[in-house]
Amino acid sequence: MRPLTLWRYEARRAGWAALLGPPLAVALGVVAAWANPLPGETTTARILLGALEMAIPLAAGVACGSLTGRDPAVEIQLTAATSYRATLLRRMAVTLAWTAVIAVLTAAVLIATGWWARWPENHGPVAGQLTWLAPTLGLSGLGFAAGAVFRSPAAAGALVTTVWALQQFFGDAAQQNVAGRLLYLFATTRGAVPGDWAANRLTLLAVAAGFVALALVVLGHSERLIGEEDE
Amino acid sequence: MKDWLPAYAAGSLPEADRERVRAHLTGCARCRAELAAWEAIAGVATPPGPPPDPARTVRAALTRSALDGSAGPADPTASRGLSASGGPAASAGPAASAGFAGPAGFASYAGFAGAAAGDRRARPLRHLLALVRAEARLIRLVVPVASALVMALGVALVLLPGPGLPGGAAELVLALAAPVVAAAGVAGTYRSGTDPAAELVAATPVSGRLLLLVRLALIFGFDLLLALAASAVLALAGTPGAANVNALVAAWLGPMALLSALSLLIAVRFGPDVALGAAVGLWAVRVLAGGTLVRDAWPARFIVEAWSTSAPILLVSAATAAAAVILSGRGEPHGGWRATHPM
Repeated sequence: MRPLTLWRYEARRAGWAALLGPPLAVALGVVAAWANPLPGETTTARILLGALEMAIPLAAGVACGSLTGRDPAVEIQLTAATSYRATLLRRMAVTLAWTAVIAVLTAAVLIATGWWARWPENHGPVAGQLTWLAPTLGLSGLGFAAGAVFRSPAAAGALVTTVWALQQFFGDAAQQNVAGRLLYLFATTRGAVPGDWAANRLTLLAVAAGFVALALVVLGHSERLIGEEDE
Repeated sequence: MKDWLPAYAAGSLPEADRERVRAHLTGCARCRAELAAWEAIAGVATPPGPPPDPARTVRAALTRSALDGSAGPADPTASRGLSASGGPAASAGPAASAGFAGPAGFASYAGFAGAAAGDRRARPLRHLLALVRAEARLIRLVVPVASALVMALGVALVLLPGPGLPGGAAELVLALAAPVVAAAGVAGTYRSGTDPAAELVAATPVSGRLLLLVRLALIFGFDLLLALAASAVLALAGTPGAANVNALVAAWLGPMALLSALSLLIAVRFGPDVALGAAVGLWAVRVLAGGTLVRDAWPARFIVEAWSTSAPILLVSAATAAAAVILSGRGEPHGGWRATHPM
């Protein structure tokens, strides 16, 4: 199988949620910014960056959570020479690559139109890309690991959405201790202790790597992927 | 001569030829043996008497049913309670239930029927319970466990000592977690691609709507009990602002019902993956409208009001769920996991 064919196949297997989620998330942010009744360009800029930091990570997290547990050909995959966790890792890479394309294009438009600079905590056009990259990888890693453990897209999606929603409402409480500050997903647009932003972003990246490693360990026990139905 | 033996045995040979065969048989033992075989076959193929009167057969079956309360011989699966595919045979075989009321002769056996009526009334209930047990076994253990874990996460966030949470945190946590947990579970109830019994379900004579209702009752019922238990725990623990259980329940009941109903409707039409994505998207809009982006604007107020517990919201939820159940009997979900090959 040619590499391009293989990647196209993996993109199809990643599903519609992975394809449609990120563009719809950006569209939601644009609509919210357009409908924003509050005065001031700063508020509108915050909403637009919020689409990158809040909506896109949620879409990617749910999509990555649905990669395990919905493959109709899992038994055939498990008989193939390629390990199934490598296959799932490819699908996660496809999902995240598509998410990154949408996020970078959106960020480029915001930078070109000046909306990026209108938010005081933007952290520049280069390092500022961690605005969406860190929470996207953090929630995607959580979703991927939850999907591997639960083998249920619904359970993984519910967990990712609940964590995301709790952080939305309890942001102030999260700022009151170090762990909460470092693991806070929305440090760019919802505020962070000055000087904590870079540490927060790096911590989220490290946590994402830990979740992916956990998922790979769990997926190494391939009999778990098909075992329960036989009980 | 051998070619004439079948017709001779069947009695359809002309008289002249019959005489020739008869004369031959007297001197040929081999043909006599072959004729005996043909006569045996003819004896089996020919009915011994006139065909039975259908009316008498039906009357006899009804009489037997009224006397012993059995479903009769028309549906052998009925006496086993469940058909091979796991569904109740009462739904599959019309002879098992409703067909008894028609014939006039049945009235004379009313006394016996009355004695058996209680048993017949209990039979659908037994079949339904058997169906619930069968469907409960198909739900993977990890689904309720994951739902419980997510709810426990929310409860622990409120109960564990840590950073000071804002007032009304208990209500907020339940309102955030319960709806999305239930909606995600409901999204997977309709023809999930990993349903181990998907092909059996597609082939069973039991109504797909009945199966969907049973699954829905199991999944949604479990999540409902889970949220009620979480509310009770938070109230009993003396969490600030959580003394009123009714207020706690009101925080999540309406949103949970509406989001689950919408999730079901989308799952029936577009499949479980789209339903999960849509439920997450709708809930994200609700969360953002209520706390982050444009809190004081009328669109945000409208969205927050729409995701609350009130009689109209519960009615809309029930109507949406009913529409989903009705639609579930019509074809297969667009682009979903089809039980048959696409035409």
